[in-house]
Amino acid sequence: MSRRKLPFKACVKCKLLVDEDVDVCPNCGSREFTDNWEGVVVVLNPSSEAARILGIQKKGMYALKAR
Amino acid sequence: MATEAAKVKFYALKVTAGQEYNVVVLLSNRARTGSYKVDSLIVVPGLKGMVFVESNAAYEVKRLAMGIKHVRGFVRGAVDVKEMESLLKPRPLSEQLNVGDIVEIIRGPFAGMRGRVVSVERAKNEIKVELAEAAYVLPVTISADDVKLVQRAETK
Repeated sequence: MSRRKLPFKACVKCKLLVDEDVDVCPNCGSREFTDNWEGVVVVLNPSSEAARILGIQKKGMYALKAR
Repeated sequence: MATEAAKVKFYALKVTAGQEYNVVVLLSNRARTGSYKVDSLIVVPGLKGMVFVESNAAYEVKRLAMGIKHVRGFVRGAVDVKEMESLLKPRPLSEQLNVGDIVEIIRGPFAGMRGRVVSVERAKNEIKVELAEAAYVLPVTISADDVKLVQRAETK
């Protein structure tokens, strides 16, 4: 169920997907990350519908669920 | 005319099952380096073999996906924004659960056990479950995401 999909971890606070070696989230500054994430949204345009639905303001790759 | 062209829609791509995340990484790399009118890429958990692309033109999506490994085809027709919203933001399970429902725990130390819901805390998305298999009454508090509804409580 919680099979790893990509070599990323998700910020628990803003759900941004970052590389394994990152210590501080570049988006929100949080230090809490999880490997237990599901779904991906790549926001290429912050004014897109998907970003509006999910409340995302910056470009980047985000998880849909992060536990 | 201009407003019609600017209407954003979601298009679906058929991809090899299990390769959704890899396809999204390939597509996002291409979209970032080239000039494509694509706003976002989406992989919905639990929806196998599908990748959604947000764009206002189907040909842009086809152009973006052309030649990418594991892309099997393009699904004709667009997905409505409202439909996409329900996929991206599903109703939390705690809203669907009521006291007396029979649930199966699917994650955590009690995985596989069944129990009856004793109380629901919607604000925290937590529920209290009385385990059916325990020798004595054992209420445990768990996240509503970690359970699966088996049977609804009988309504009077």
